[in-house]
Amino acid sequence: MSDKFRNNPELKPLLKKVKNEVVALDGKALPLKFMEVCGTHTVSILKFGFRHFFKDSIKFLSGPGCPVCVTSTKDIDKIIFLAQQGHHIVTFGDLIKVPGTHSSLEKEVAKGALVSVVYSPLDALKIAKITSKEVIFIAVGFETTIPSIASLVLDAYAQQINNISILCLVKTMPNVLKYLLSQLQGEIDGFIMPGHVSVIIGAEPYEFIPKEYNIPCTVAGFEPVDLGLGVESLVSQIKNKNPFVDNRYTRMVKPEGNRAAQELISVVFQECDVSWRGFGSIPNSGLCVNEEFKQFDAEKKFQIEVKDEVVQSACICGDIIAGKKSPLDCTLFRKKCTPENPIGPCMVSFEGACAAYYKYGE
Amino acid sequence: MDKNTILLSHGSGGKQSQELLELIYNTLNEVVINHGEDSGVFQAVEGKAAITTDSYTVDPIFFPGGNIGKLAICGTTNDLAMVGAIPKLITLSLMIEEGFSFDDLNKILISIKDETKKGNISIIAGDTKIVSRGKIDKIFINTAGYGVLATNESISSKNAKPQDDVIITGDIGDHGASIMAYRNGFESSLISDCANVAPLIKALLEQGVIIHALRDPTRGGLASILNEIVASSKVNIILEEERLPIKESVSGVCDALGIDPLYMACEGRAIIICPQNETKKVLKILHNEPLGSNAQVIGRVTERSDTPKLFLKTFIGAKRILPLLSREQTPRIC
Amino acid sequence: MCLAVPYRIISKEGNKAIADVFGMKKEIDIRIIEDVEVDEYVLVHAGFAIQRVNQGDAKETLELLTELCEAEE
Repeated sequence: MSDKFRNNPELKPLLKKVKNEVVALDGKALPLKFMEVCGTHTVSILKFGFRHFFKDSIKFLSGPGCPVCVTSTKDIDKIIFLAQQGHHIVTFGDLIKVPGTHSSLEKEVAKGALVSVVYSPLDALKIAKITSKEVIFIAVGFETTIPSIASLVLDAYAQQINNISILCLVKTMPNVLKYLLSQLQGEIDGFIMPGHVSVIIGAEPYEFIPKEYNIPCTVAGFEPVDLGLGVESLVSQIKNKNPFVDNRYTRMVKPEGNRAAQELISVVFQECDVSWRGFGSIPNSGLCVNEEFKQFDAEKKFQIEVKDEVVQSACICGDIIAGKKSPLDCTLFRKKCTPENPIGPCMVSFEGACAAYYKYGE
Repeated sequence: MDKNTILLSHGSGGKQSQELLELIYNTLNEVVINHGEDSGVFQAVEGKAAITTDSYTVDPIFFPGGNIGKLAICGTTNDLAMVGAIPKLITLSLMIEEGFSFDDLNKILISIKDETKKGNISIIAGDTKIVSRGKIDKIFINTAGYGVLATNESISSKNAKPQDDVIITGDIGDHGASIMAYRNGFESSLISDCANVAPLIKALLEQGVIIHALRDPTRGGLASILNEIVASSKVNIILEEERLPIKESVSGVCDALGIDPLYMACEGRAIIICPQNETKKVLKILHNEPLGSNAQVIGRVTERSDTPKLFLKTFIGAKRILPLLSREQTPRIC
Repeated sequence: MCLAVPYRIISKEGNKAIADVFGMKKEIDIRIIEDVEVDEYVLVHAGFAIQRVNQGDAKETLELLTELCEAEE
């Protein structure tokens, strides 16, 4: 079944039709600007060739959808601090090379720090059971990942594992979109909503986008057919001047999302204000560990001493995530900032806009 | 004292060293020549010869479909085959961590013997070192390989020419994907493709096929090695996504872990770049060989370029760049 | 941010299941999927099942593709 969503002979004809429709649109400056807010969409759009296919008709902008890219330097410094204290850091692969103010996890490993890369947060518990060191799981991600992180905390609590905690850096979608739209009104022609975040939160939280901003939205999956149907939906909404939240990923996304996941999350976490790279603090855009699980909150368990952020003025990762600028506008891009020597997370992360532009060309 | 464990004294030159060497020679007996001498002496042949060297540090040392020993022999024979040489002799240097098990060493030696015998090559010189615990990771193997050239034509990464076909001898990414799957707790029937491809290349050269470039897509995978070829030959190459032979299980584990099969190592495959009018002959010969049954054309060399690039024509007919990645892939959540 | 692929359930016990993705088997956590059945497909992210795959909707999505493809421009 899944191959039908990848290599489907009906997709190319559909995409050609969509391209023709874009060109025939009345009163719309081309290229249309569609923003996606999911790093996996950034990669899929490039990987399957959508960027090239729609070159002059649709420009795909990357929004704040890469959890590595939106993690602030200060938060990275907290991770480095904990690694330097001798704790066993457990993390997703995405974070290893991200530079903080002075170092990165990769550099700390070379100096002898204990760092394990895992596929699942629950693997951190397995590690905690076989070591006497404090295991600290670096919790980055959006709503797709948060249920598994919540389960880690609940299992640690139920099994009375005391040498484990999480550094809670998770962020949530809807409010950052509100903030983004308040800065970018009129500049985006359509939003491609993150398919797997939507599995958890549903399609309802995005209703404000067409209602208050008159911008078309589509919830799209990640295979070429899903992306194609997503783009078709946006173009169709623009043509019909009828913006709404169109769910084109119905096989995975229900309007209300996954209620069991939402309940699980609320047992362990509560909403709080968190800092996003490039945006600063956004109200209720992240989660913090509930009081009753504070023994698993690394920020409460340990005294983490890091200085306040010194903004690298030349690095414009924040503006790029906000869709305001492109990597090509950056003075460091390709000169001082490369995948081998990344200055900001947009270049380090596999899904960061800068890494993508550097690798796949523009 | 655990009789099954290798100790530092096994490397010190005394009686225990003799015991270790005896185990090694007993297992490798059939394939070792010049046993007991400080150097291996052999009759050099007329004409051109090739020498290669490599070190093997793979982790895990035992993986689905092979182990570090098999990898060491096949990696060496394949490097020789990639310049059109028939492998003849190999040297074997073992660096073993204190505490390594005799049983594991024996399993690795048996694999080395099997591959050496299958490949019609001999081990002409060897060395064993025991290293203190923690100063090395389990076992490292270094080899040098010697082969005799089977062609006078220059086969080189610098030789790819516009309009040449790009052929791969089999499925892509099996080795890298099987290791990633194993490391991340997937249970599967996916095994490494680790194999000696020299017989494939021998079959082609014996039939007088013209080949411009040959490379085995090991570390970094197909995309990395093709990037090296485009840079050396200063040409563009375009691959067709629809024609890439990738097993469903390899795709599956790569999708699940967020890694790209085009950058996963192959240890029993060869990239063959040849003039278009040789392609039919190449495929016919390859399809007759067990290791080449799934060989196919996957792309073409297009034009000369001062800023050469590797392209991929995707399923939807769009073109994108396949870059040289600066780092090893790790599983992602994004 | 959300790499997730469909796996088929082979067996289950409590919060865990053994699931298959193209012949690769892995233990996954199924606690937020109610009444998971063997042979069902679930969407798995970082070793955690986050939703069951609705095959009926999958079929409808492919039918939508056909419909849009065949529609007059």
